[in-house]
Order: sequence, then structure tokens, then C-alpha cells
Amino acid sequence: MVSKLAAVIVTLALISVRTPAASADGESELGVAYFEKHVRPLLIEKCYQCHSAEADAKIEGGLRLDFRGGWEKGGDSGPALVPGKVETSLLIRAVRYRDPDLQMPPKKKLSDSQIGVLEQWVAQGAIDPREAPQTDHAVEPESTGANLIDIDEGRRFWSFQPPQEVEVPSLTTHGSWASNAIDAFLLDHWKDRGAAPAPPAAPGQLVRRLAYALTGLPPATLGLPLEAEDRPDARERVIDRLLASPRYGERWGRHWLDVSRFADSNGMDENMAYVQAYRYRDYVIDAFNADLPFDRFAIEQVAGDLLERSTMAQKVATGFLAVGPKMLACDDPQKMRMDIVDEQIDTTGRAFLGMTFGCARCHDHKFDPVTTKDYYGLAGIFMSTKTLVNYKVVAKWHEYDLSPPEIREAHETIAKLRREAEDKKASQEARDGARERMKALASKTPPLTKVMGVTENEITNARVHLRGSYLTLGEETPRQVPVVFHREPQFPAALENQSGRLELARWIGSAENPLTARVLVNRLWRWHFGKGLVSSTDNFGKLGSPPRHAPLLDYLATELVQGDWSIKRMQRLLTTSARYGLTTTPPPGEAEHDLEKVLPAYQPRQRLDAESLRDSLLGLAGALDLSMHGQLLKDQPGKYVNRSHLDDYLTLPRRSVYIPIVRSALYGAFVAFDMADPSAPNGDRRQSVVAPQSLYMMNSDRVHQTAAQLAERLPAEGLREKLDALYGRLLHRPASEADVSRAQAFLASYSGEDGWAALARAILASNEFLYLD
Amino acid sequence: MRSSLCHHRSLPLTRRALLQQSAAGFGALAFHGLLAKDAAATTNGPLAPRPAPREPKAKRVIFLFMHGGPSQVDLFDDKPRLTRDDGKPLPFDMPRIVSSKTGNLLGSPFHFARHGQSGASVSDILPHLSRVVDDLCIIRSIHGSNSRHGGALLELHTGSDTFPRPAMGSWIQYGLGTANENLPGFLTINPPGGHGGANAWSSSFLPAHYQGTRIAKNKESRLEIPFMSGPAASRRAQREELALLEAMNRDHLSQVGGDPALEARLASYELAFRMQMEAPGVQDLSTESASTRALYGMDDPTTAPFAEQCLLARRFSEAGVRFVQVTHRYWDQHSKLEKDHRRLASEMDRPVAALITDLKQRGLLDDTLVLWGGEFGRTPVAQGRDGRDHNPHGFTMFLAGGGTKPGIQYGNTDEYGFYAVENRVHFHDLHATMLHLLGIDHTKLTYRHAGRDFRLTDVYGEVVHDILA
Repeated sequence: MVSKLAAVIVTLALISVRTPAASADGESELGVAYFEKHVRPLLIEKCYQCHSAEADAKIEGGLRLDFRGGWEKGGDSGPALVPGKVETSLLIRAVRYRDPDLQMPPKKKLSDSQIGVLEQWVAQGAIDPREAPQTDHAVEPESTGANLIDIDEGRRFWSFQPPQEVEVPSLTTHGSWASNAIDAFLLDHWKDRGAAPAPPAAPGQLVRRLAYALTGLPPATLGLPLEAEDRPDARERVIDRLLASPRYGERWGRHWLDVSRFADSNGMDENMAYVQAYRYRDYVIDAFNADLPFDRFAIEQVAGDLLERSTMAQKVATGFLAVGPKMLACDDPQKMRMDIVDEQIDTTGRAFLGMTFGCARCHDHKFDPVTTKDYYGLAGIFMSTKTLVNYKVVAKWHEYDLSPPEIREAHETIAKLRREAEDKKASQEARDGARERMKALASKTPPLTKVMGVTENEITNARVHLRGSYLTLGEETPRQVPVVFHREPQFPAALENQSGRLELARWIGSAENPLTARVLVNRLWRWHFGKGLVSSTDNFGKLGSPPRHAPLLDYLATELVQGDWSIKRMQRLLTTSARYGLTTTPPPGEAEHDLEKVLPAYQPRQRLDAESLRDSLLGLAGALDLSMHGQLLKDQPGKYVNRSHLDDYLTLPRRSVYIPIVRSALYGAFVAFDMADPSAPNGDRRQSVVAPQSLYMMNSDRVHQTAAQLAERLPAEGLREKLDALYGRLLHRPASEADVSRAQAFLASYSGEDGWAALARAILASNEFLYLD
Repeated sequence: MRSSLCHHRSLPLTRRALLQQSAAGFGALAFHGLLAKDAAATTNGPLAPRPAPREPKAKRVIFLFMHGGPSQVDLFDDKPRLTRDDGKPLPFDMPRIVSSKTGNLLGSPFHFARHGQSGASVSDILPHLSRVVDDLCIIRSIHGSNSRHGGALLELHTGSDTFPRPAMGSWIQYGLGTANENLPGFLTINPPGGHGGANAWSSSFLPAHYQGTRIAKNKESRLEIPFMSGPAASRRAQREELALLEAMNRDHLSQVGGDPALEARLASYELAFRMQMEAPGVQDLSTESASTRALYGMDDPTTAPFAEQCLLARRFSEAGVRFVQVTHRYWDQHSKLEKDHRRLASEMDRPVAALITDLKQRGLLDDTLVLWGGEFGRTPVAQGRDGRDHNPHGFTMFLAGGGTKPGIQYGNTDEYGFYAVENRVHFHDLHATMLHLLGIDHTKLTYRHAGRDFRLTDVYGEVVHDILA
């Protein structure tokens, strides 16, 4: 009976209702009856849970179906339906479940008869008597603008304020203990909580600490003598010697490579070899060795290609943007493109500014004053930057060809000869001749000079992607830095035929930028003192930590800028402080302080990182090859990385910074010792104690080989002489009486074959070796 | 030494300090879930207490990963209309995003029959699994978001097809710790090296304690945990060496006046030594009875390789490893589907059925959650003449034990098996459900990183209550 009535109504509706506006009252009544009878119950049962004022959390997709205006206005994807037009109505497409991107209700497809009800309803003009509710707070979809974020309030946050002018405490009032302003600040800080600094470390310990801190190698491998020089400026002289060593750039370049999440492959799916990425790594090492001012370093990495008379090195520098992790095999090219843009925004923000812009991709930042509009302002800059040259499966990335013209020509000739040699129509003689000439030319032609880096793309503004999806686009946003930063330094109000990347780079590298210098000096502090003044080194936003000593941070940031952004100069300041030279033993009472909040009055003990450990083991075995630079990856351009080479790479005697890093196939021993995962910037490696580290020290070939080498190279005679040599090399000190008697007892009773190798292994595995006292 | 570990645990350290310094390399901190937020991420944030997790149904997980994407319509999702309409065009739209060009509908070359009391329809290339269907909770409406191996594999393992995130095994370790500190808590046996490789067992931004441990063939072609044995002489000599090391470390410790990290490292060597003692025994399959070996198919060259892995998985699970993954490959039949699916099924079918049976016999199935499936399914339409393309839009996985309803088939795809249309279960829902069975609320298991709280389920995921026992 019911269905019969419905059928009558439907028939009537189909006949008579063409345009709802013109419908006569009687017809409309029938339409309303149909709605009330069939459509409203269906909407209530199947749709209201997410698309009405009753929705549990938020209105899904911004679409409301509990009053007529709701579907007329529609959601993020536009009006939900067009009265009379079944085939073009989104609502119908969704319930039919034939489009994987639009299937509603999400858990279960409606029955065929239920779909039929909605189709009929739309076909007959979608008559809907429901008016908008009286009080309605939920009609607006989620905010995509700045209306919920108070920018002025946001600007007052400490890290968005320019560094404050600080009064440096006078050195003379701090007695003879203080070496420089850092010490004066800290003495005042400690005095406030009644702490006194720990005693200074032994000279030998300090040399070992400095050697590892500045070069990542033990003093023995660097040729530093066991006896410290007996002169007042002995420490300065060691520091200067270490800063001048090429080993310095290898060590500090590696720190920056953590931040720039460097690797030699894309690593996400089809793992392609970034055969040119090594040039970026070498650029970073050279920049540190040459003490390239950090503002220049930042600008070159973001936009070196856009500088006037851009050099090869400056193009190489943009590898910063290019060497990140990427899906190169994605069937959805728009997703691929936006994911790469997102990765670049995230890395640039965290590396230089300590800002987590990536959080604003799908919604306004929950904590920091950054809106989705701000995010897509940045996205426009990176969308206008060419990183890939196509979005195929597998996609190809952009490379410069900087080969000299004659070499490029030679390669063209080789290609031409190859075609001739393979030309089936030519005579055998001609083909052989071409092959001969091709071989001869190829053998004397160097490879093309390719550089992995970004360049300008077609200039475009981004539109806001509602909830991060390119299927629901909002308003167009000009290419800009976030509004919260629209003061000093100025970012151009309008960009024309340029991406804005150079402007972004200059804005980052500006002396007025409130974040860049602070973020850098904080990282330098972290790498020397074990924990940053802001302990969240990569997050200077609201969820980051406040500075434990804001004036000291601002003083250092100002010093950096005034010292022409020289990193070495800043490191000299840090490492010549009396504070740096303290022992690792906390003075009484100090260990109980909440060191998350206050600065310790001793030097926190740091563990050798993965690379320092491996390089030490090679160095102490006398096997370390100190040649610099170059490509160790064996893979050919345009090919997948061959993982079967990984074990071979690790046996190469080169410093660890040169060992190829294949994303998603990291070295177990490196991972165990907390090597940074190259999938995201990391300025604060952990120093964990985990069992795989112990297993490595007990069982790895590398440790056993080094111990055997050490045992073999001991002096021929004398227990004392042998032990002094061993302790000197490994711990930079002579053996103590206790060491001697312990070793004697061990060697006498050891049941294995080579007691000296076992002794060396034990020292290598000891805390005194693995940590810097 | 054991006592020093216990003593160490009782120190009033922050959880961050514990994480950084604990000897509990493989998660010996049995911080039964979520005691406090990790301060490493919250930095100065409060160590807010968390609600105690609910009573878990499952204590451990075995994930049988079918790398490549097994075809649902040839294994568990019987589609008579697909057979009937073989060769006809698909009567509805293809997905907006596809991997490759495909043609018309391709009926399954295999025959389906109903089995067990549950009456589940299973393909005839799975005779052994057909016999245990009453123990399986078959979900025929799984869907993911990515149609390429790399993205799909990453999404299945980490919840994200965009950037590397912690693997589900790492999250579970983070939430629950380990039940046996002498073994790694998250093992993956013979995992894929490609398609994201280590991303599938990486702890990513979670601390290194939660890193998965890969077991691969060593130089002697034995499956082994890395660095579990070395060139060291005898156990006795190594013990002597470790005693010397301990004396050195104690001496040093007394000189420098105490440091939790240094103390933790002392304990860590002791732990490593105990692992060395225990792991080889767990990995020694020769102690299994002849009937068990036969059950898994250890004596048949076709089934032996995967049987070894499944048996190892059971032994590790039994010994307290929280999350064990084994991988069977390579179910990516863009062509020659009939031949290769038949071969792959013959390698996988018996060992997996045996694992279910064995776990049940030992009373382990009740609190062990078994999960079987690939990174996606395959299209009901043909690729080339005799293959199928990737299809993340609707495919089958099954669960067993661990508090799931046995003997049910949940969800449905459309009449041809292309799209999940009824009781759809996204990977996020699967993850949420898995955590729920382990006693963890997926919305509360968070870790603060890069400015926000991350979850295995991102901002998605609903527990599928219908499949809970």
C-alpha cells in the first residue's frame, strides 16, 4: 500500500514537477509529502550523524543536510545537489558509490531502493520544506582564514619578537673564573639558585672532549699529543687547530646534514639513486670548513640558483630542497606534487626557523599563529619552484647540466654514433666503424656534470586546500610568508614573475629575522653542551620549550649576526668559556635540579654518536682513509639503488659522512646508535642506551677487527708500556695503577686466545670510551 | 646485575630519562601503557598521567604480511557475477586514480566452495585455510588510499602513505613495552627491502627502543637477530671479558660519582648477554616435535621456507615478543595470475593454517591476534590477458584470535569485488581495532613530535566493534 502510494506520487511528480519554483501548491504538497515520508527519515537515519547540528564533533565536509539551505549552499565540494539533475548531483554520485573519492555514507552503501528514493527526490525537484534552524552556530564550515587566530596576540610570543638588547654582565665583577660573557651570564643564573660551578675537567679529558666535539675523531687519530701544552692559551690553541682541520667540516657538516635530512636516495617506494646528491653533501662540508657566513649559507640553500651570476656551488646548494624523501611512484600526480611542496615547507621551516608550518596544511595551526592561508602562501612559492620535471611513475627530478660545451657536444656525438652503430639499414662496415669511433670517443670523454637542484617553475599562486585535499579548493592566496611575520624584515607585498623563493631566502637570512639566528645559535649550543637553551631545537613555537635563559640566547644571536654570521667565531666563544671546560660530575645538589628548566653547572656527559664511533674504530685500527669528498654510491643515473651494495659501503675505510645513505635501508649499527633518520630534519639526536648497542660492541666484526689491530700494534715489551699505549690511544690518558693490576689479573686468567685483544675490546666497550668525560 | 636494573627502575626519573637511559633497549620498561606523556617530546610539558588502558584481549600480534597484493576475488571474496560476466565491460566507473590500463571483467580461474559451520566461501587453492575458517574473522571490505606498493605498504604498516611514521609494531611497543626483555619486542622476519623497506619497521620519531628488529639470513644462511653472535671465542671467554668490562665500568662510575646513563649501560651488557643466551634457543626449530613440523609443512620443499618463518613467529610469540611480522611474497600478479597465485597459495596455505591450529592447540590463540593480508587487493578487471592490477578500494584481510569473533565474514564489496560497499574497514579502522584489542585507546596513544601529537591512526580510525568477540 505504501509503496503503491509512493509510486503514484513519484509518477505525479515526474509528470508535473519540472521547475520547483513554478510548481503549483498541490504539486508541491505532494512533493512535501514524498519528502516527509521517504526522504527526511532516510536523511535522519543515514546522514545527520555527520551532516547536521547533531553531528558529534564537527560538520563533515562543511555540508549540512538538516535544512534546505544546507545542501543548497553545500560543503567544501560545492552544492550537494542540483534540483532536477540526478546525474550531476554530488549527493547522488556519493550514494551510488562508484567514485572512490566520494562515497557516502562512508561505512555502508545505501540499499538500491534507498538510492532510488534520493534519485527520485532530486529528479522531482528536491522539494524540501525545512528552514534553517533559529540559532545556528554550526553553519560555517571549519575556518580557513585568520578569524580564529589572533595575529597581534601571536606576534607577542617571545620567538617572534626581535632579540632583545641585553646588558652583558660585567666580567670584572665575576672574579677570575669567568672567561667570557657566557660565564658571566651563567654565574648570575647559578647564583640565583645557589649553585656553584663544578671543577674544571682534567686537561686530557678536555682535549678528548674538544677533539670529538669539533672533529668527531679521537685525539690519537688527529695526532694530538698526550701531554697538554703547559701555557695559559693551551685550550685556545687546541681549538684553533681543530677548527682549522678539514675534519671539522666533516663533523659539523654532518650536524647540518641531520637538519637538512640528507640522503642519497628518495627512499619511499621506488628507491631511486640520487647519484648527484653527494655534491650537496660536499658543499655543506666545504661551507663549514670555509666558515661560510650562515646567512649566505641559508640563502644559497633556499635560492642559490636565483642569485646573480649563480655559481655551480650555489646551484648545488639548492640540493637542500631537492634531496628530501619523496614518493616518486604515485598514481596521483597532484598528490605527489603537493606532498613534495609540503615536505619542502616543513623542512625549510624547521631547519631555519624552528617553525612547524606543516601543521597548517589541513587546518589552521592549533598552537602557532599560522593559518592554512599562510601555509598556502608558502606553498605557492614552492609550487612555482621546479623540483621534479615530470610526475610520471617513476617521476624524474630536475638536474642542471653544467658540463663544459665541448663535453656536452662529445656526449651528443657519442649518442649519434651509437645510433649509427645500431642502424640496421646501414652496412655492417659502417656500423662497425661507428662503434669503433664511439668507443674511442667515450673512453676519453668525462661524464656530464649534472647537479641535483631546483629551479624556477611556471609561476602560480596556490589555492587553499580545504582539509589538505586538492579536490576541495578554497580561495587563492598570494605567495607570501605568514602574516604573523609581516613586519621586519619586509617580504615584498607583491611578487610578479618570480616564485618568491629568492625573497623567502633573503627574508630567512635577514639580520632582522627574529628566528634564524636564534635557532642557529641554539643548535650550536645543543651540539656543544648536550641540550639547547631552547631544548626543542627544531620547534620555537608555542609547543616548543621556552628558553632556559632568554637574555643569553638573545646575546648569542646578536653576537652571531654582528660577527658576520660566522659559525666558527661563535664556536670559539662557546668552547673557550669556562663553562665548557667543567667536569661532567655534577657538584653536590646540582643533579636534583630540573635541568629541563635551568642550565647545569657542569658539562652533561655526551655519548659518541654513530659516526664518531665508527670513525674512531677505523682510526684506532689505523685503517681510516681521510680522503675527502666524492661519490661512493655505485649506482648509475636514473637507476634504483642497489641495496646489495650496502654491506660493501660500510666496509669502506672512509669517514662515515661519506658513506652513502640509502633511505629506508639504513645501517643497523648506525640506527642502534641513534643516527638521525633522514626522513625529517633532526637537530637533537637522542643518546639512548639500548641493548643492540651492547650486542654491537660485543659481537660486531668492526669492533673485533679494531681490537685485534690495537693488540697487534702495541709495543713489543713491558706490561706498563703496552697498557700506557693502549689507554693513551683509546682514552687519551696513561693507565692508572688500578688499570694495570686489573689488566694483569685478567691477562693471567683469560681462557680465550688473545687476551690483549679482549682487553682492548673491553676498553672500547667501556663507558669511559663511549662517553666524553 | 639484575638488581642494578631493578634499582635503576626505581630511581625517580622522568619518563624521558627512562627512555633515554634505560638499559631496556627493547622496551624493558614495562610501563603498562601510557603512564605519562613522553617528556622528550613535550619538553617542559607536564608529565600528565593517562587513564589506565582497558583490559586487553590480545597480548601479542602476529602479522602475516602478503607482500604484493593477493587477489581477494581469487581467494576469499567469492563473486559469482564476476564469473558469469567474464569478458564483459565493468558496468560502472573505474576509480579516478588507477595504476595501469585494465580491460574487461575477468572471472576467477579458481573454484569456490563453502566450508565449516560458518559457511565461508573459500577458493580451492586454499585447502588448508578452508579447514580453519571457523577460527577466522574474514573482513572482505578492507580499503586503503594508495594504489602503489610503496604508498600502500607504508599506509598499512604506519597509517601514512605520505611520510615515514612509526610502524604499528613500534607504536604497540611504545604503548605496552615488552613481555620478555631478553628478546626484542618487535621482530620482523625477512621483510621486503624495497617499497619503503625499513620504513615498515622503523620507530621513526619514537625513541630507538621501539625500533623493529629485522631478522634476515646471516652468513650461514640462518635467520638470525643482528649481532646476536660474533667472532668471540667461547661463551666462557666472553663472560670473562664482560666481567672485566663490568669492573672497568664500576671503577669509572665510582670515580665520576653516578650517572643513570652509565648505570644503564652496565645493565645493558648484562641484558645483551642474556639475549644471546636466550635467542638461539628460541630460534632453534629442531626442538619441535615431528608432528608439529609436519603440520607446518617443514618437510615439504614447497612449504618449508614459509613454514620456518611461521613456526619461528609462533616461538617468538610464545617467548613474549609483542609484535612479530613475517612476510610472504610476491603476490603481484599483473599477469599469469592463475599460475602464480596457485603457486603462492601452495607455499602459504599450509603454514598459515598450521599456525592457527598450533596456536589454538597451545591455548595461545585466545590472546594472540593473527592478522593476514597484503598492502592492497586486485582488480576484478583484467590487466593484459591473465592478470589483475592493484586495487586498494576493496579487498580481504583476515584476523584470528586475540578477541576477534571467530567464524564470521564481515563487510562486502560490490557484486564484482571492486569497491568495498558494506561495513567498510579502512586501514585506520583496522589499526584502531588492533590497538583496542590490545587494550589501548587509539586516540590516546600519542607522541608529540614536530609541533603536534601524532597517532598511529592520524585523525581517523574507528574501532570495528562488530568483529569483537
